[in-house]
This record gives sequence, structure tokens and C-alpha cells, in this order.
Amino acid sequence: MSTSISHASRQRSSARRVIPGFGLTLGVTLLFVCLIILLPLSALFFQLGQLGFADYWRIISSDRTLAAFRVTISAALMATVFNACFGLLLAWVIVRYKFPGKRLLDALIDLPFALPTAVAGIALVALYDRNGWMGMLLAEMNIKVAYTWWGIAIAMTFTSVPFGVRTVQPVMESLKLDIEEAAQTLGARDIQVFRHIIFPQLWPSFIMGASLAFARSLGEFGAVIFIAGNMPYKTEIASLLIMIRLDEYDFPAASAIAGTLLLLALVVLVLANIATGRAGRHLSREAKGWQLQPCILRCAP
Amino acid sequence: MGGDAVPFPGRRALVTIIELPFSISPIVAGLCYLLVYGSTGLVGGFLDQWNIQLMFNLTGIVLVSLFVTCPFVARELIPLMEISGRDQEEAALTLGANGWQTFFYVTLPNIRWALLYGAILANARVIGEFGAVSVVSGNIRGETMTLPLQVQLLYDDYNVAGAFAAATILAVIAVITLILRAVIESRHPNVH
Amino acid sequence: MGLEIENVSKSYGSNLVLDAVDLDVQPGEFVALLGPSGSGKTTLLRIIAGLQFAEGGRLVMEGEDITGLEARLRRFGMVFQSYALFEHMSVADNTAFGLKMRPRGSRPSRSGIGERVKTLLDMAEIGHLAERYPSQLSGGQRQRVALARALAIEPRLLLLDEPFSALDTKIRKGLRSALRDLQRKVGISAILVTHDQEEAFEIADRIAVMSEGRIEQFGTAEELLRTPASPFVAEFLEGMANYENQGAGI
Repeated sequence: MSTSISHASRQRSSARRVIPGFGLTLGVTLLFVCLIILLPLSALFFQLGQLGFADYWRIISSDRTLAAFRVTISAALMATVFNACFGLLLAWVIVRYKFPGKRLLDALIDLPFALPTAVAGIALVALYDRNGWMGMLLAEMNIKVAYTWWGIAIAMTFTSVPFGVRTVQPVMESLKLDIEEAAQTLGARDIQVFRHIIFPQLWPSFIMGASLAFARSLGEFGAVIFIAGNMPYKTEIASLLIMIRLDEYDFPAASAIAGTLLLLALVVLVLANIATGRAGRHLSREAKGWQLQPCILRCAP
Repeated sequence: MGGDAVPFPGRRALVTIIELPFSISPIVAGLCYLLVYGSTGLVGGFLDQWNIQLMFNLTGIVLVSLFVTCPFVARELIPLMEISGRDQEEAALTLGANGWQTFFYVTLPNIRWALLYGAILANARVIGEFGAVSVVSGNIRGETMTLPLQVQLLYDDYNVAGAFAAATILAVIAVITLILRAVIESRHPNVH
Repeated sequence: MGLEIENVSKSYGSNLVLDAVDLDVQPGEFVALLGPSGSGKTTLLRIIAGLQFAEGGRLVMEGEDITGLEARLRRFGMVFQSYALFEHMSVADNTAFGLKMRPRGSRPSRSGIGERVKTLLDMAEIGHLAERYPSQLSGGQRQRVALARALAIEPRLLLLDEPFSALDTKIRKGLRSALRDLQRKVGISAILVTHDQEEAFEIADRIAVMSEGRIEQFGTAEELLRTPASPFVAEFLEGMANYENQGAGI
């Protein structure tokens, strides 16, 4: 009947995709990705390229920029270390134990993502200000949080809590209890089971969660500026400095700082990807299921 | 779309690019948009000749919101579609359904809750977006002033009560989002 | 006539999974593809269904070359190993799916579809489950739905990919004879993929024993047992010799 047609189509038949619509859907996806994501990002690097290295260096190495980066990075590191450890603990409690209010706690973890950052910002100020509950308490101990470096660190910590928990949690849920039981029958103590059996399996997701928390903290703006005090050289974060340069129509300077901030976040994420790739290479397919999808997380910024 | 059904070279790269907006500072995102679509930018300068302005108005806010929220829906759908595999689509094909029919009658109904959930999260994020919007909006009062920007404006004017009133509205929206999430999750355990 | 498979080859990368396979299925015949896992039997079935495409060779159905034809145009009913039921549709809607997908010209009327679904479900002895959803069914019931759904499109050929593997032994035996009876009643050819010798012997008219991408031998149960074509066939069917003696073959 249609012998000649199918002979022709047979030439490419083995490479054919069975589920139809591949060309159309991929085409639309790529167009969208180019216009919405890649074009704006490449514009930033285009602007940087026009700037030239000497000018770039002059902007980046100015005292005020360096100070802003120092404040941003140190506070982000603080937030990351806290969230990595606290996130592990929180995930453990939620996955391994049953207790009243567990579902509420589980839902609360997402609050920092769901809450607009500006709201988080003024709520934190209200809490840690001289007249706030925490502020008054801490003032008695002569600790000042609002409008200091500590305020910035706390705001960053608050907004990145979910990363620490939500990256580790699904992996922890997928851990098989019988492996731990096997370790116990072989004479391992609880702490040894955690150290030698559980943590090695969690390690890749732990690293990934920490690096995502770090990237997010580097870029956090809304929550921080309310509590930071925004004093140049002291409590001014890099994102705010970009904003200030923009208000002065100093696009080159804004782009230089933004490009550096972006690169810093990307380098951390790429390093984390490589590290988790190595650490997870011998893990079962299931345990690293999330890793095949490097950044597909349960969390929702 | 097409995250699971069809493996193709560069798939991992595409997935990673779609995830990029999560790790980019909103301020940086806003700046990138100014550079492209602003009146001195690559595309914006071109459009400026016909007096089309994209930044400092509602279009700018919508565009940058697209950037900030573009991973949301994809991220809900990709794991779900990976779990459910392609069996049902293949079954539909052997039963004589064409591409559109397979999509509308089989794929779409299976992912509709994840789709709705992703949309709710994206919606909440757009309402609350602060950094990116404050770069591209131009802060024109009554025109391009979003609720989070209003919070900051009132706060800077020392109108703390007003700022808290506006913030409360936003907080309520956030809580409603979390409740919707819990409802969808408990009814449809396949959706995260 | 029936289905003729000529010289079909398929590889994944450098791994040859089907090596110049020939097979023919007569009208009304029940053929089993029997072999250990990794022997290429499921790949062959998926190529017949049009869900994968061969690199070389030809498929001819009733004189028509269907090698490059899309799955949806082949009109081969397939029962998947997982059954692949549409979880969001009732049993009746699952069964009606293939008919509803037809272009308007050849689509039966609404009441026509309803009647046909009812007939099929009664034939599969699940008429009382029409309004249930797949998640509310047992494994055996799900398999019957998958079968009714595949038969609804009046297929030219019925393809069965390990349809019993998800069921426990007890139900399996009953469903085997039910499947065989149903296939005879409808009068279509069928191809069953299985790794279970007993299953193949009980259901199939002819059995193709597969190993490493090749068909080692293709014949009736008796032929396979009397004159095994290779040591592999003899070894693989070891233990089945008594089976024939018991007269349980039919």
C-alpha cells in the first residue's frame, strides 16, 4: 500500500521520537528561555565587556565596594553555616519523629519563602528594634542587633532557612532504615551509625543546600535593607550599593558590582555541583535521584 | 514542557538554565532587564525609536516577574512527570490518540494539580517581589507602586502604622498561599 | 498474511539488542515471546507497537508495510506491564478512550461508544466496576480493564507485555485461561511477552524462544520439547518436559 512512503521514512525511523510534539514544545521553550533568561543575563556581561578591565578593577577595588562585599559575604557565610546545621537538625526532627504540631512546623518552614521579603524586613525590625521584644531583651545584655552587622546576618538567615531543610529532607526520607538496622546489628553505636551510615548519604544534599542558602543570602535585598541601617562602609550590602549606583545613573558601576555578585553566586553553585557529583558518584540511583536534577528542590523561594 | 517525556542532548543544561533565576539576586535581575529593555539598552533602544517604552511601567514589572518566577511551574512539573513516566502517554498513542489529544486528555489531567500549585506559588512570589520590581518600576506613585514598594515608602516616611497595615495584607496573602499548598498536598500526595 | 517481521535489528549505542529477527504471526494465532530478561523480547514488542523504531528490517501487516507507521495509526491494542491505566478516568472512560480519539468521521456515536464499552466490560467480567477509578481496583481487575481498553479499538493485533507479572500466582492461573478464551472469542492474533515458561506453554499456539537479541527457536510447545534447536533452548525449557506429559498443554 504505502510502501514507497514508509521506505523513505524508514531512513530516519530509528532516530524518530515516538511521543509527538517535541519540535514545537522545545522550540517554544528555547525561545522563552532566550528572551526571558539568557538575553538579560548576556546584556549584563556585554555591559561588563564594554567597561574594560581597568575601569572594572577601579570600581570593584574602591573602599566602599570592598566594604560592601565584605559585609555581604561575611553575613551570608554566617547565615549559611547556621542554616546548614540548623536545617539538618530540623529535617531530622521532621522526618524521624512523630509529635503534635509536626505538620504545622513543616508548613512554617516555608514561611520565609512565602512571606514577601519586605514584610519579613519590617517584621524583623519591629522585633529587634530598641522598642521591640527581642531588642529590649538584648539591650539589657548590651547587645545591639538592629542596624548592625548582626541584623543583616539575622535577616539573611531568616530568608534562607528553607534551603537548609528542604534540600536534605527528601533525601533523608528516602534513606532505608534497614541499612541502619544492619549497622546496629554489626555493633555500631548511634553516633557511629549517624557518622558512618547516615551522614555520608546526606552529604551531597547538605552541601547543595548550604550553597543555595549562600547564593540566596548574597542576593537578599528586601529583608536586609530594613534592618541593616545602610551605613556606607559599615552596614551597606552589595545589592544596596547597586541600587544606589543605579539611582545615580552610574550603569557601569552598577553592572560591575552586579556582575561580580552574580559570578560569585554561580561559582559557588558550580563548585557545589562538582563536589556533590564526586561525593555522590557511588550512591544508589535512588539516594541521588535529586542530584540528577541538580537544583530541583522541594523548596519554594 | 518536555522535561521528561523526551530525553535529548542538552536537557540537563536546559533544566539548569531554567533554574538560574533562583540563584540570582533580584537586584541583579532587575538591572539586567534595565540593560536590555531600558531606553539605552539593546532591545529598548530599538523600541524607543517607535516611542515604545518597556521599563518604568507595568510592562517592566510583568517582564521582570516572568524572570523571577519562571522556574516555579517547571520545577513542580519535572519531578512529577519523571515519577509518572511515559507509560500512559504511550498507551494513549497505541489507542490512536494524536499528539494534542494525548496532551489534553492524558498528560494535562495528570499534572493539573502540580500546575495549579506552581501557579499559586508563582503568584505569591510576584505579589511579594521587592528587589527586582523596585529596580524596574520607577516608583511612580499610584501607577507603578506595588504593595511591597508601598511598605518601604511608608516606612521611610516614618508612617510605621501604614507600613504595617500594608505588610499585614501581604502576610495574609502569604498565609493563604501556605494553606492552599497544604490543602493541595493533602488531597494529592503526588504533588509535593 | 497476518504480521511478518523481517530482519529487524536494533541497538542501544554499541549494544545490539535485536539481531536480524524474523517472525511471522498467522491470523488468529497466539504467539509467545519467551526468554530471560535482557533477551530483547520487550524491545521487539515495542517495535511492533510502534513505540520504538528498528534500525534495519521491515514490518508487514496484512500486506501493508508498517515499518515507519506511527503507533497511533497501527491499530494494535497493547496491554502494558504496568497496565498504564489513566488514573484520572473511570473504568468506562478508560475503555472508551480509543473510540473517543477517532476523527469525527469514523467515531461511533455517544450511545454507540457506551454500548460497546458495556459489551467489552461484561465480556471481561468487570461490568459492575464501570464507574470505579483505577486506584480502587485490585491488580487482577486493573489487568482486565487494560485488556478491555486495548480491545475497544477493534485492534488488528493484540500485544501483551508481561501482563501477569504484577499479579500473585493464585489469580494468575485463572486470568490466563480467561485471556486465552477472550482472544479466541474475538478471533485476533496476539503476541505475549513473558519470561515464564509455564505461562507461554499454557497460552500460546507457537513460542519464540529468545536469547541475546536472537530468536533461538520458533515452534509449538511440542516441537520445542522434542527437538530443541540449541543447547540454550534445551536448558531454558528444562523441567517443562513433564508438563507436556501431564496433558496440561491445552
